[in-house]
Amino acid sequence: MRIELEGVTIRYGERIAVSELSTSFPPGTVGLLGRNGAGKSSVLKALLGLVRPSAGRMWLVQDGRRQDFGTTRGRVGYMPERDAHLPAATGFEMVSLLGMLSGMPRRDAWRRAHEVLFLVGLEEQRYRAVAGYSAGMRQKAKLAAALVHDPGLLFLDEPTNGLDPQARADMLALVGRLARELGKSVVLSTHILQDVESVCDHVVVLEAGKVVVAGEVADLTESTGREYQLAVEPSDLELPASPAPGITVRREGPGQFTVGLVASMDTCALFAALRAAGGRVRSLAPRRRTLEQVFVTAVRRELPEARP
Amino acid sequence: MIHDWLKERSGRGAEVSGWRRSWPLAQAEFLTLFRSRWGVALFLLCLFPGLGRLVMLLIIFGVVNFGPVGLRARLQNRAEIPGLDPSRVDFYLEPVVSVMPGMVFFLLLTSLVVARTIARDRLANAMELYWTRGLSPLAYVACKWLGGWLVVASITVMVPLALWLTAGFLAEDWSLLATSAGGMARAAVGLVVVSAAWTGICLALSAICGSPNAAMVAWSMLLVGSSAVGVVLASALREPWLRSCLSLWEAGTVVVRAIAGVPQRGVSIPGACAMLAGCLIVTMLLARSRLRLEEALR
Repeated sequence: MRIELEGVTIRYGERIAVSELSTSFPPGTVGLLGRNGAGKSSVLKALLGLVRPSAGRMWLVQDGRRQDFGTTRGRVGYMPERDAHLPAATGFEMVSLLGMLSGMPRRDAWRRAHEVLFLVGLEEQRYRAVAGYSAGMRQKAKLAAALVHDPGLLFLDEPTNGLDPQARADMLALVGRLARELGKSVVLSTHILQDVESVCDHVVVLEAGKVVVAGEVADLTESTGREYQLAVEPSDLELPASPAPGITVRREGPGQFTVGLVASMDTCALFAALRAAGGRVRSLAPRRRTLEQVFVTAVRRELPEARP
Repeated sequence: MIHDWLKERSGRGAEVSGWRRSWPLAQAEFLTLFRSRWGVALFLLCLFPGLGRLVMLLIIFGVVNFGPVGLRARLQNRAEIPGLDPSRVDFYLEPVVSVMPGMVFFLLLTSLVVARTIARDRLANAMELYWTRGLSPLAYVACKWLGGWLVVASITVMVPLALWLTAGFLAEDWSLLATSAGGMARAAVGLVVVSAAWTGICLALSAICGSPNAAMVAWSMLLVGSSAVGVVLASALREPWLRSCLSLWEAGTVVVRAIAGVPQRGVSIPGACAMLAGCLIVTMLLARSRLRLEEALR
């Protein structure tokens, strides 16, 4: 399932939250990134039908067919950012009731509630009141509720909010499995870049209601060209800033260097320079950008104070 | 690995639509009361006025024979006390429309069940879950109202009807049922209408207030406070009909008695109708602004 947004503008009175946004969320796992107030929640609200865009169209593309998003909202599962549960309901009651409200017959909703609670790892706690769950269990219960009606598309708003490191790793692993093994399209809205880097194939970065970066995570974090990360022995080895013509070296830590080579040079010259300095190579790898660097660079470019 | 059965079986079967889709919410709302021991105890407690009437019926028809001789004689010679005559409709209405014990138990039930419902959902952010399922705010309120009304009606409507049927079976012949059937049918309609209006007002207050406790207090203040104001002003101005125009409880009971055809003195039926409808409309309009879709993600 692919979501396409075409010139979408969202206003809250006079304030424009999203301005003529045109982008697409391809199938797989997509990270929706942005600072607070960048317009992530507004885009999600519009897709969920809670806010009506003042302009633009939203489409859902499946099997080559383009459908208006408003008619296909039944196929969407949503996991809210805030703690949300049904008061006094057990995990099973909450998930099955939400399944029935999504249009499932009672018997199917009950069966499916057991299945998804088992999937998220709440099978032992499903008959306990959700109000008594830990933060991690509540996140899982919300994910089960988002999955109960078997949606093809999932919107997960900050799914790792308030989780300890182990629970966070478990949640991310589960999100990854949903896309890989169950074929769900997942839109993960978050500001935790590591979460996106670990589970998402594609990323859309919003700033001030506009897309500033969009693309495959692997492409965005690809090698920066002729820069390498070099680890050497001994760790106290000192290298000059330019050990040979066309080679620049920057010390990053004990035994760690960033090496830049001009286009005409290969790594043999680097090895020769190292041998001459009395060092040995432990590892040499092309330097990759992190998603954080991509994000910071893109956002800085858009900030008014950064513009000339 | 995700289990094969989850991959192979689709969760989506035949889709339910229309009111059948929202009905589980009303059902869950109704059953909430009976899912805890405290809730069941509260429900049984609210049956006490009806049980009192049942004991009276048993004494009147000579099924049981206990209590002071004087009381038994008075109950069995029912023609002398119109309010205790099982052939009259007001005998069955009294446990639910009297200030004591009717209002006390009604207030207990509604403030602990209906007044808390939407405020509690708001506190738990449940609306975000409901409204992203395609359930509109109107359908949500309708389901909550229906669930709450079923709880209230199980006392206010079912108890008088159950008492009347019991009296019919205890009586020597079917004449009691035959003579009072029309009045009881009208009384049931009146109870349905008024309990629906009371539940609506209580639910609207629940939507307006920020917390379940505030909603309980607001509902109690409205019901008891308006009754107190009605009593004080009616006494001070020597205008007894003012009670039916100023007290929410009194207005409801006047409307029920009017629909049932029970004779009333010193009341204003149009005033009572206006009071009931006015409260309902004002609280619903106030609640409407608090139940917009945007609130789900606020």
